[in-house]
Amino acid sequence: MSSGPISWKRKWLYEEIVERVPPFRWLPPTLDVVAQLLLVETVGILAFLYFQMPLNAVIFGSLAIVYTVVWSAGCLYVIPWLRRLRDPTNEQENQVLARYKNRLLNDRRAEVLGATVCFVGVGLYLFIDQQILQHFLGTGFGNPFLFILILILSWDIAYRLWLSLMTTLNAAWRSIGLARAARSRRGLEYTAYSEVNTLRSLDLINLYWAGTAVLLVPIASTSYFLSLGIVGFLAAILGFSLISLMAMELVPWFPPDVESVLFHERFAYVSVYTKNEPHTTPVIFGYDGKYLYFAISFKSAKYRLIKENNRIAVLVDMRDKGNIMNNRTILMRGKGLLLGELTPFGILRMFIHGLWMIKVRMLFAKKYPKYMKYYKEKADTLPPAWQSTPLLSRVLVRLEPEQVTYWREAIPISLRV
Amino acid sequence: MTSELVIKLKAQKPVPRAAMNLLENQFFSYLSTVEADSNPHITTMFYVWDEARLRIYMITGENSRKARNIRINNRVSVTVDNRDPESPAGNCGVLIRGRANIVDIEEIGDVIMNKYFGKYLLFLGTGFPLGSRVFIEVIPRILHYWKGVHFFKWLNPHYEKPIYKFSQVVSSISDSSTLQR
Repeated sequence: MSSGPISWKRKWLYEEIVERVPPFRWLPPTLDVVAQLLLVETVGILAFLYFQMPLNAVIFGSLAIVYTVVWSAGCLYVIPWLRRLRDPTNEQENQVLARYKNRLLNDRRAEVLGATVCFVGVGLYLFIDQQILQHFLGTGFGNPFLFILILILSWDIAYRLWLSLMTTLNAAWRSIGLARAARSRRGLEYTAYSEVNTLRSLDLINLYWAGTAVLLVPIASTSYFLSLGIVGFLAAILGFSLISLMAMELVPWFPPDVESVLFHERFAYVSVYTKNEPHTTPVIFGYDGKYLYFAISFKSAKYRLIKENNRIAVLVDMRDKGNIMNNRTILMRGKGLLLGELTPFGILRMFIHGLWMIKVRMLFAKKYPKYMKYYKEKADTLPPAWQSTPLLSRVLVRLEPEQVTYWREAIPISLRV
Repeated sequence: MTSELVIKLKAQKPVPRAAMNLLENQFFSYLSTVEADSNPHITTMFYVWDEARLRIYMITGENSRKARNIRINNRVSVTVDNRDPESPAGNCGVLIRGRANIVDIEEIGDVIMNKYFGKYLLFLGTGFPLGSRVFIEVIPRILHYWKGVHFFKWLNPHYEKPIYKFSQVVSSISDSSTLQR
């Protein structure tokens, strides 16, 4: 780690409060959230009963409280995960990730400042346009206790809205940086694809997490400016998340050494295991930067065996009879996903992966022009197992890599998964 | 019905000449074994084909992954093929499914040993270490041969189904676990 492992131990303000303030300090993190919900909601309902506020005040107030609680649950779930991320072996990518973690977890000034700006903005607006508060609070308007309660709740919301915005903005920034840094990889440098996957799923969770701000829409809809603010906020969250997800798609999963073999070699060996005996056959395959694809016939033994057990191993190797040191081999193991079956589930999968299937078809046409020509010209004379019509006679298998081993100069290197 | 079929197939002799030639002349083979967690595992291997006994021999490290896998589950498959990047009709290959034995290097005999080094000496160089190495002997149960669209299947009439004894299985597993440690 470039800037030392201790630096990630620092926490968000919210987490520190949860760790230090008495009722929460004694509870495990999962109960903290429940305790928070019960505490704030009880106070709110008591205030509602005491001051005889209108009914929609309690509903909207509860929605706001639910928002803060859902957010807190997300926070306690996502942040530890983020801290556990392992470092890429490529120095530039490592720096991008280090900066990202630093900005997100250690930048207390941005955290407090942004939240204060949000809070002051909403507070000023409520102060100028007092009708909203008057409408909601009814007879309680002007009560100092209620005033403090409103202040706390709006700080809570402003703080959380700002942090959501900050995380998504940072995620988009990081993804773009990572995609750019990935181009400078050499040899075996890379970001383990499990980490890429983790970051991607974190982005998705982040989107849902920030998206819970939808709960605030009913409250905001009572005023033109507040609704404008919340719609702008949701649009920004969605936009940044999309940018982040798309940039993550550009990060290749394997180091350049492995990719060069996968792109240039023309044959792979697929091993399937059922009924106590493995079965190995050569296939032609395509690689799109992430997954390995190969097409098999419905009539083939492989199809039958993969249906029984979808754990497969695929070996791609670069042969050189002249020099033992020039031989390179990649062994990928994982689950095979069948694409293009005409069954209810198969059609659903085709619906999801349809565009990819067309892309892979083009990939094959580009990589094996002679094979494709042969299949096309001899279509009438070939036996059924050799027909290459998609859907009718062929099914595509996508290998989801779980374990990757790479041999170079007769030494195996296990790539992190 | 099935037994009739088996007899019929067993009567189909012998292994085609082309398959024998392919096994004799190819340089690399692909050995597929089964891991303890029943996932398949493949490796590229050097091999020699013993035409007289219809067996394949390979050398590997005593504690290598494949040797450990074979000690736990001795069912393997070996593929030897000739690739033709021009046309799929030119592809031919042999798929052998059967069982493997681990044989000590002293017990293998000079014929196989000489054949192995005759085939691979130029490639391996003289510094090839033989300590802690063992031979893998593959006995085919079934042999598939294909050339282009034509397929051929041969069942080994002399293949005996392995009889597992519980004590053997247990000892093989405990053997491999000590090796892993």
